Parts: sequence; C-alpha cells; structure tokens
Amino acid sequence: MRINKNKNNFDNIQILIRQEEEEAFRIFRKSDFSARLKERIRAEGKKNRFFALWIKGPIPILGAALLIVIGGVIMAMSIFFSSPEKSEINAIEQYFQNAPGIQSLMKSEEKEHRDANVKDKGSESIFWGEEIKKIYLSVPKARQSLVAGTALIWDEKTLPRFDLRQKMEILIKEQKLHDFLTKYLKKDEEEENGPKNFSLGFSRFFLHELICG
Amino acid sequence: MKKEKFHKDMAKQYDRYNSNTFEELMSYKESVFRICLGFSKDPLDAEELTQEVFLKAYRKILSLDNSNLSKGWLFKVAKNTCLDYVKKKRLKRLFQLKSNSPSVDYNSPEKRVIQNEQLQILKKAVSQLSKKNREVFILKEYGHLSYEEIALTLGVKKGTVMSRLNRARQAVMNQLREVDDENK
Repeated sequence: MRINKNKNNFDNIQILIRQEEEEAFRIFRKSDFSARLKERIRAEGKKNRFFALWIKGPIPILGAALLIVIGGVIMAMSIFFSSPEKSEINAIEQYFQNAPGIQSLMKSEEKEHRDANVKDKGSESIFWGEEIKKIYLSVPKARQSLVAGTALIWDEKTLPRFDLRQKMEILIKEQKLHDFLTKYLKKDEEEENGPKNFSLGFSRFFLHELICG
Repeated sequence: MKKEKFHKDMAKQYDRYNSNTFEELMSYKESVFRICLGFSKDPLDAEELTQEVFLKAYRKILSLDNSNLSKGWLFKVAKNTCLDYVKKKRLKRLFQLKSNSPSVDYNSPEKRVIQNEQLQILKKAVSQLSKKNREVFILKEYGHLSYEEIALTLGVKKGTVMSRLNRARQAVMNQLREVDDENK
C-alpha cells in the first residue's frame, strides 16, 4: 500500500518534471543551436589566432629591442653621469677583477719588495701586500656607502686621537695609498697625461679604512 | 607562409568540428539541455549552459582517446559545467542582498507553468538535495540516463547510483508531501 502511495507520489513528480522540460524545450532554440555554436567556435578561433600572432609577431621583437635600448641608455648614463668616487671605485674593482688574484698579487709584490731590497740595500722600498689587501676589502664598503647616500664622508668622530708618531704614520700611509692608486690604477693615464689626483673624499675614505678598518 | 598555416589551422578546426565524434556528441544536445535544466532550473540559463558544454567539448575533444566513451565523457563535461554554474550562482546570491536579475519574461502560458506552485516546490526540493544525490537525480530524471551511464559519468558503481537515486527520490517526495500537508 505504502509502495503504491510512494509510486503515485513519484509519478506526480515525474509529470512535473516532464512539464518543466516541455516548457523549457519551447524556449530552447534547437534549430539554430549548431549554427550558433559554430559561430562561437569561429569567434574563439579568431581570438586565439590574434593571440598567437601577438606572441609570434613583431610586438615581442619590438619589446625586446626597446628593452635593449633602455638597458643601453641606463648603462651609458651610469658611465657618463656617475660620480667621480663611483668611477674610482669601479676602477679599483675592475682592477681587482682583472688581477690574477689577490694572493698572487701580494706574492708578486712581496717578491718585488725583496728584490728591491737586495739590489739597493738601505733604500726605502715599499711593501704593498697588506695595503692592497685592505683596499681590496674596503671596496664593497665604499660602494655600499655610495648607494646608501653617505658617500665617503670623513667622520672625525670615529677617528681616534693620534700622537705625533701616529700622525706621521698616517701621512706615510696616505702617501702609500696615493702611490698605490697612481701606480696601479692610472698607470696608462700617468704615462700619457701625467699623474692624476684622486678626489679628496675618495682618498680620505680609503685612508679611514686603512686606519680604522 | 603565414597564409598557408592559417588555412591549415582552419582545415584542422573544420576537421575537428566535422569529426564523427563531435557529430555524435551533438546528437546528445537535448539530453545535455535537460541535464542543464535540472541543475540551473532556468531554460535560458540551460540553453547557455548547453552551448558552454559543447564549446568545452570542442576544445577538449582531441584529448578524448576512446570515442566509444564519448557519451559518458560529454555528460561528465555537462555535469562539471553545471556544478560550476551552480557554485557561481550561489556565490552571486551571497553577495547580492536583493537579486537584481530580471525574471525571465516568457509568454503568458509558459509563465503560468513556471510559476506553478508545485513546480516551484519541486525545484526547491531538488536544489536542497545533497550534491551527490542531486547529481544522480538530475542525470536520471532530467537527462534520462541509464544507471550504467550515470555510473560511468560519475565514476561510481551502479549500486551506488541506485541507492543515491532512491535517497534523492525519497527526499524530494517528503518535501512535496510536507507542503501538501501544510496546505491541507
């Protein structure tokens, strides 16, 4: 009995569903369904082709060319409009990059120092090894100071007080530093145009590094 | 060179569209429409969904290796498309306090039928079924799929389909009966 009642109930539901479907099929545009679908497929194909052309076409090439030009301009600007300190730091860095290595450089300096002492006993020949190392180590710091905008400031507060002997040593170091920079970094320019003076801030920064670093 | 490629692409697309498989799939458009109607409860939405289903099927038809399984595959595409639609609709309703979408303006006899109280109750009852039961109910009662086809579409056993369908039918009947009792 209950089964029959359930069956009748569900028959009613199925009738309702058929009614709903009938109404819906009156609205469903079956005849031009395929034509509309084809139209959509065609439109999608066109869109995809446009995208493919965009990817393969001249736009990416133009974009790449533009990037290269922008990169070139930025490089040129950094070369021509960079501060003297920056170009000097670049020069030092480049020098160390081209050097056979700081260890071998120091060894060759040591050998030169020894040979000079043997040839000319009693003369004041300079051993560069330690100073080169300090300069080498101070290059990243100098660059960082430039980037941070606190470039090469001679901060007297951080300097210790010196007695006369120490001041003399500093002066000698300063001389050594200047000699080093002139000897190694601007060798060619020196031969052609005479010795070049480095900017005061730059020399002072490295001197500061040599004393306090 | 580009022109040649373009024509080749067009030919490929044309082949794809006119392939026997796609033609075969198109013969199920009415079943797909019924399924979409079951999920959307709106004839216009159902039609749009049917187009969407075939568009998806067209895009993916090359990934269909076995053309013998194309029917089940199409119904699976239909089911997934409809479930996405239901999800979106539910979200839309959540964000809209008051539905601004205009009611479908059918001609007057259709409107009368759609607004039929019992039909509204049925729609509500179906939409309140759990997702799994609803899927089976719609594929069976609207899509007229066999138990085997439903099992294939949903990737479940035939016995599971039968038990889910039974539960779904009971739930719908109970809902209708409750309303009937309230009216008495």
